[in-house]
Amino acid sequence: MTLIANRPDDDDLRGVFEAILAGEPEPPLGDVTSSAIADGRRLRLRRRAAAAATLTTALVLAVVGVSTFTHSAPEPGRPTVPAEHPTTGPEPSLRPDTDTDTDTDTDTDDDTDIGERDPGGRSPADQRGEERPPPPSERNPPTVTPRRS
Amino acid sequence: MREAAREREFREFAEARQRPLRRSAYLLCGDWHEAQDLTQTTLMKLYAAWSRVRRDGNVEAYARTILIRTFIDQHRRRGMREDPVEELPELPAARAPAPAPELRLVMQAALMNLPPRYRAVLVLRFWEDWSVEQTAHALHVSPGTVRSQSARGLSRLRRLIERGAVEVNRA
Repeated sequence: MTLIANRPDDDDLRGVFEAILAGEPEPPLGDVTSSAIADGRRLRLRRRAAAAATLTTALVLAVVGVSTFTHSAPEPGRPTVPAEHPTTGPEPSLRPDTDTDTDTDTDTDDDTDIGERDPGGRSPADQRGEERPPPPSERNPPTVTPRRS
Repeated sequence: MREAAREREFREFAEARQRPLRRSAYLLCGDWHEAQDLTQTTLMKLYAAWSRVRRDGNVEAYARTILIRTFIDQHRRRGMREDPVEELPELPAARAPAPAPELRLVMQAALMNLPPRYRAVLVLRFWEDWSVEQTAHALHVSPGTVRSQSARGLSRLRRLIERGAVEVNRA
């Protein structure tokens, strides 16, 4: 065969194909057409169903999207009210809760002067917001007299 | 009514063209049973799109295009069993020269040793007599790719046939 003796070029390739096809007898063709028609009909129905499902999904998504957008938009003319601060926590006080009593005097008269203390340990003067007088030790500082020799 | 007319038209076309389609499929895959399956799949896809194909015209070319693309897709799904390689694989005849292979078997083995895309290009270009542009359109590649794959495929086929022919002459 010239294909083998000489190198096959573009024209000879057709001869190669013909030789390949001629070498083996073709088996009989079955009923390919009827099977193809039945399968093709099923394929067409499947494609249509898939297209319908895609279209339905797109429509549902579009409706949901539009309704969500419509409901989330603020109504015109309605004033916006700022949110109030929460009032659950304790109010901040200007004074400390406990007063440290620096009065070291044990005189009972002084005690009566101070008066009754409230459960929180504040004096009535404290409760009224008055300024307390300094303790006696600060009022009369001890004087040191120089010793005469 | 419309469906019946559509089916009749398709049946006429399929009865007339299924044999040439199966021969082309055989050149691509090298097995008559596989070629029959390939032909049936091609006709099934063609029937599913029959109305549009008839409207567009050139049913014959459309059928060939479906055949070639189905063949390539099937090979791709199988995991590219026939990967293109740099080194040419040894032909069975070259490994075991004892049973003298027929010339036809050498040529068929050489064709089947080509990567599926090269085979598709060669079958379309030199068996179906398609132009470079038609082949490029069918395979979704550029005309330059068709030219290069055509040249490489021919070169490989030539070498493989020569190698096989040497073994035949020795035997």
